[in-house]
Amino acid sequence: MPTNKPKRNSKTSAASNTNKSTGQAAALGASAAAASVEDLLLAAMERGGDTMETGRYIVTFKEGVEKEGIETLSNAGMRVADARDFNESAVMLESVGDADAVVFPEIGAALISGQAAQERQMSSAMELETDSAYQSVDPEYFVFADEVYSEVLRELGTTTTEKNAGDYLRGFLAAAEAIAKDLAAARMEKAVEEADVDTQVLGATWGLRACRVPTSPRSGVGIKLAVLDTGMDIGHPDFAGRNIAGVSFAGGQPVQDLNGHGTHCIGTATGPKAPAGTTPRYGTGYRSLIRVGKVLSNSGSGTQAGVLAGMNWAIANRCPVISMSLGSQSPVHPAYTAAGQAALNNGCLIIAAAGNAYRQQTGSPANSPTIMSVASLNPNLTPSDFSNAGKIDIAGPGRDVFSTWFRPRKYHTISGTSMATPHVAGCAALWAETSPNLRGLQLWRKLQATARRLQYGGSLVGAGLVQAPQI
Amino acid sequence: MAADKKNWIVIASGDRPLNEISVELSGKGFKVGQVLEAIGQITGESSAEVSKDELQVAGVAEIVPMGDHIQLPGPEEDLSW
Repeated sequence: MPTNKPKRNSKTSAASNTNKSTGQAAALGASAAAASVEDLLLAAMERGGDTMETGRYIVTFKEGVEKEGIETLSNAGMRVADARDFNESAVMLESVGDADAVVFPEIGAALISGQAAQERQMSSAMELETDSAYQSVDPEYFVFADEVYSEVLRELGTTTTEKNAGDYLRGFLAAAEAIAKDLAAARMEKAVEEADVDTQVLGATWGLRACRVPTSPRSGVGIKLAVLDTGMDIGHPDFAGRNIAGVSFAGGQPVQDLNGHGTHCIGTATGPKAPAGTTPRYGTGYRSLIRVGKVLSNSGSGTQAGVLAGMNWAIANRCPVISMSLGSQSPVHPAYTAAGQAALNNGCLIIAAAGNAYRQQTGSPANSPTIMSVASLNPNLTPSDFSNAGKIDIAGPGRDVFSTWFRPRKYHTISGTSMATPHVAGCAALWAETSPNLRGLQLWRKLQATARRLQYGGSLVGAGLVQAPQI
Repeated sequence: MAADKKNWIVIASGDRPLNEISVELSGKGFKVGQVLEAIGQITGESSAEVSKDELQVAGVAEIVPMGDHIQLPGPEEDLSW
């Protein structure tokens, strides 16, 4: 990141010549000023609870005394980095090294590491002297850039560049909003709740009801269901006590999901029968054995080598159901076809998302003839406009699907053939429970034979809407 | 991967142990990455000078270039893959 290296040494900066990697930053402490968002999230998860706080603090200086405020930080023994030391003040927090504080003179605020704040007993509850250069000390919050939050910010007359930047988390920017807009987080939660109100009053998600999951006597007990994706939030409270095993094939990243996609898919395929509180049922095989193959990084990227390694692992471990909500708009790849055949030969069934390129041809690997491809349906059971077409074997609920997300958010509603696929995988686990003979190709045929027929062509919905067994 | 390297997936025919195939491939300048027994495949790379035909040893059904990277839409997107 050469453009974001410090361009000069500051009198107060200890950040010169420091361009720490995430791992190095983590070594400085999970709540260091230089800690990555991932480090902060992992630390927050370890602390537990539902707080949106990152563990760091924001000090806002009184107007006109910003310089004194910065001096106060230095006088308190903090190593201070200055945003002005970076090209165009575009400071990358991971690059501030072992600084205790990063000051942003343009907005009259500073980010303080959790440890530095703790050592100096700084918190939002601290009493500030009337002659203090500090206006306030506030916790820094995580933010999840989504449409709802953007709406809230617009309502509050606030702007953010997060969406445009394409980043989903920006700890400091979130905190900067939080300083002035303390109600934002609470209002965001309220908006999220309102958006999901239909789901919450009906007891089970529309997808589960469409697949007749709530009335199925099956739970997927004893069936290993592998999800090859971005991993899983292993400590998510909805999965407490479950049999979970996982391996990462994603460049050394832990199985812990800091993307959300994998946790969402696992929630739909294997989530609990009765989530706590008012949360509706959203999971299918609630007693299935969860096998997590992290083949995509936390940024959602992966290589074919990693995906093949995950398929190999799931087949070697004889998972009767292997769910893959991933792919690319590519032609049939012989390696995926061979892997799908190997799966069938070993009593496994690979189920993959057709892709969301708006009626383009089914993407890879779902386009392989040995892999079951899944299209997406809307709540009114029409094909989703985004869903690919062509080689489609079956369809599942994919529009506006409520399921788990990595903490602290915990739940999220998103759309895609990615969301339809774990509905099919979950139902496959339920069917697999009904007979040890329903494996591989037999399971494939059973899913198609029992699907609810729809008035659309096979190239859009395949055999129809997947159904859970009622036996 | 360096520009003078090619990434390959070797798909075995199933009539010869993978470790034998990987040893023979190594002898031809193929750098073995993963040996995936359950799906009968070997991943790895070779220099650009090594042709696909040279890697076509006994027990190999097909040799194909490594496919595209996969990239999910960002978590902030409402529409996933």
